Amino acid sequence: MEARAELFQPIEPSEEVAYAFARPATTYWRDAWRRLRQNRMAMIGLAVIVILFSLAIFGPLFSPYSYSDQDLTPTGINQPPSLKHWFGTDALGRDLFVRVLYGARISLSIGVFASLIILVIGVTYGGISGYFGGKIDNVMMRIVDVLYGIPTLLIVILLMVVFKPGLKNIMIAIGATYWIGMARIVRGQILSLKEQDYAMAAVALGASRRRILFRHLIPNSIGPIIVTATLSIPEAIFTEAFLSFIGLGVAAPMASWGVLASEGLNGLRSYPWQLLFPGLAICLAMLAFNFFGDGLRDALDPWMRR
Amino acid sequence: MMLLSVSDLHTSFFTYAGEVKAVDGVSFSIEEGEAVALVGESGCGKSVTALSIMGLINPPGKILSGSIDFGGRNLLGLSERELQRIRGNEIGMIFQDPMTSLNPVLSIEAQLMEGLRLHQGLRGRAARKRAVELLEMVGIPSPAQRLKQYPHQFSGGMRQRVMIAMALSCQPKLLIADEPTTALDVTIQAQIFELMKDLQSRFGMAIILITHDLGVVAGLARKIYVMYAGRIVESGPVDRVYYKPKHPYTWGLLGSVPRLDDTAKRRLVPIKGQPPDLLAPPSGCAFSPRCRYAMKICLLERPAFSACGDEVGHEVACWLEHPGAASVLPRLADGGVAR
Amino acid sequence: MLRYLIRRLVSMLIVLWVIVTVTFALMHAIPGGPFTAEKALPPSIQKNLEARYHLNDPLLKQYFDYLKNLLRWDLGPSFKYEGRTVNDIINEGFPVSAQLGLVAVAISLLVGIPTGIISALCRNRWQDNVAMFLATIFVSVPNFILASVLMLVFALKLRWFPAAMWGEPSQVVLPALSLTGFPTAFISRLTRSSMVEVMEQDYIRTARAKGLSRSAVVIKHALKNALIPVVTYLGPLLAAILTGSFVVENIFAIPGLGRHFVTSIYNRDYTVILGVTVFYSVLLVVLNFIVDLTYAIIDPRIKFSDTGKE
Repeated sequence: MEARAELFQPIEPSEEVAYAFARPATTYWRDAWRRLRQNRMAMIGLAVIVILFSLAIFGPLFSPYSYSDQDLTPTGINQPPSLKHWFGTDALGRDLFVRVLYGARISLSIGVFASLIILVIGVTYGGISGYFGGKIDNVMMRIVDVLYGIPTLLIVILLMVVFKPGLKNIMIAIGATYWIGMARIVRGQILSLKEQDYAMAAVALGASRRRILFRHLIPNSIGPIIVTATLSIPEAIFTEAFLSFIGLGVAAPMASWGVLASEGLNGLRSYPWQLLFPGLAICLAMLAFNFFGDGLRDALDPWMRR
Repeated sequence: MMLLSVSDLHTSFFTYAGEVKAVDGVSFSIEEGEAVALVGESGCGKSVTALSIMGLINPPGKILSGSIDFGGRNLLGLSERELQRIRGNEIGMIFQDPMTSLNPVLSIEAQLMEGLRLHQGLRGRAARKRAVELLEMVGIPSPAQRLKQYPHQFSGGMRQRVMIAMALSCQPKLLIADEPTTALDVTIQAQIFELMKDLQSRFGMAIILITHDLGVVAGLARKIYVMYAGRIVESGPVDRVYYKPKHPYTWGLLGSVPRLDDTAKRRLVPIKGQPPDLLAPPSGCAFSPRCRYAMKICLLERPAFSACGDEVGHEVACWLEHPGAASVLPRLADGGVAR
Repeated sequence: MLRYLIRRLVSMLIVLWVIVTVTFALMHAIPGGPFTAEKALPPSIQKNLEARYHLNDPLLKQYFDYLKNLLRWDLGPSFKYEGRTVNDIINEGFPVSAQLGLVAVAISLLVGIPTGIISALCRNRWQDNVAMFLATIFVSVPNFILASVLMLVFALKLRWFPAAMWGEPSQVVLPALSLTGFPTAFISRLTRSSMVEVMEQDYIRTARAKGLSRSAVVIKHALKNALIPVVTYLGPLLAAILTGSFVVENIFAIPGLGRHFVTSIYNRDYTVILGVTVFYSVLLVVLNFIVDLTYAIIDPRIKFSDTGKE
């Protein structure tokens, strides 16, 4: 294209033009959500979680059986899966499908509530330690270091032996022992955020300590907190199942997945479905939470360099 | 004698957001024993250019086109194996952050002797002796003891000296220094540059100095290339470009550097705006959105290089140099750096 | 390095003391706890207990007696089995568990680490995707479920391996595989992410700029750095295998300490529970300390540092 004279006219460079070619900003959350959506396994995990919760809450309403209806006739006990009993029946003739659904209620609520307890204790402890820093932080972290060396499953077992098995006790026992990981992460986040420039800028502008804590530090720590809380759920589900397997789980007649699996073990040779279905439920739940939690972690990771 | 000649190099990064054109048509050359500087702000593509020369661009980056002629061979056409024989051997490179550029779990000895063993076949006592000589050469006291130590036991300036020793261990013809002193104290900076100057004259080595700090360039380099948004906008002998810069970006760079000897109270004049998003570089001149003197044609078409008047070797890529702009110039002059 | 080790040693002693005290408190001091409740026990055992534990003494004296006995490594008689002491049970069961555990640890490391490395080097290619997919699955399958499935498929249906008992090499396979499922998967994920992080470090770029071949860069520069976080995971790995042994030994009827422990829980054999818990804790804490030592030796930043900072 020939350079014509009129093209050599000056233009008024304005602010808008100067910034026009810069990329439009997206917020951190929108970006993270986009990345999460692109993660297929994480989305599948989320879908499974939603399905499991729906089944747990509404499933038993649609079943013709209750979890305690027994049928002790020879044609009732230990039946393989059929159209009448989708998951078959157990040694007392109870419909396994509905029992697994009730088990979902118990196992999932243990997972969620224990995770909540972990969240509350961990965030409080880690938050205080990280925020105040200095000597308080030192002492609190020394305590955590010591506690970290204690084999947690053993302590949970010990607690359950002494305080008798039961739904509430399990949630408390798990929550009271597994909060340490969360506390460390929260404290680490707050410490590194405190160092960052914008926090100092806020201080320089005269923001009060409370304002700094609530408007800056906590919202920016939420990412790792959510990830850790999500990943605590499969840990809690596993621990409960483990405890049930060694006889320290929830008390009868309540049956969590762990109890069902443990009962199913007895009939493994002849009636494998009695173990397989509850076992499958446990694995599915843990898989779903793990995939989703992993996806969350990848999506919320601050994306450097690029 | 021409040592290295880069022609129309294009290197891009294919990210999930799109293609980032980090190097968008860069050409320059360097003679044997010559020191040149590649300057520009962060993100302008100078480091990527250097890494392209070394063939160290990893996915998602890719060198798209162009040629890099080194000693008669096109580096872009060489196999990885052949490049490995050149790296550390004929071309050495030192990097910006000496704290992270040395392997923390290997001793200095191991890291120094690696290159010697690989390219010169030295082993055992002979290699160790040479390593001690190298440490002496870069000014590390008690070299024999320090050889056994680990990077975390050295200070920042000393680590950079070790890096230089490593890069020079096989006496390369070309040293690429990517922001060698950015992470160091000002006083240490001076020492490192003295060292580099000294070594350059001793070994007749060519140096490509990459930096965003205009102050350090003058002491070492003779030619300067100013880069912006993946392109070279001005090039020439250092004193020419510094005293009679032709490109508005260069004016901005020089104008925004505070001067100690400035007695008059002058405001620091930062360049308005931000560097362009390399995902969607502007058509036309990359600097036009921020240029006070932009004309319509600047937004439409990329300017070619043109020589600056009668000055030898001084070139600029700017439409203001074009004869068509001559009539407009009086209207543009508004008290910026005098032309 | 010395300061680091001393700090770790002190930490270890404090942890041991806390565990021992907590177990004592749980067993003796909680109202409704085993030693305070009036339970119907066979008179001979009741007599043994009273003689041994001086249950009518003030709590503090009981505590010091307890500590004294621990230092002599006397863990007391069993609550439920006349004539057997806790030490007997441990001596009988632990060697078996140790054998099984060692096999499991070996598999975890020998399979997990190379898998992680290969995954990292073939990032986002099919090797990586397959390996990490499998790893996430095995991280989510509880060891008792894995054990049951393995037993069902390979022992009961296919009859390739025996379903129970101990004594022959073939009886090690299924239990060991059940135990390593989770640890192997975890180690391979950990190794992969560690390796990926290392490969992005500046010193790797420096190594390549020196002209080293890709494999030389991986082996000489990347590996050592990448394995350091894996070493620190060894502690939790051992704990996972140890606790896993409770259920796996139960399922496969292996006469190891884990099985005795579970049986004692069913029976509410409190002295055994208490004693074995203390034993396990001591074991884990000491092993953790050894791991810390190893870490200090292989990381020169700890080895040659006066501050001992981690």
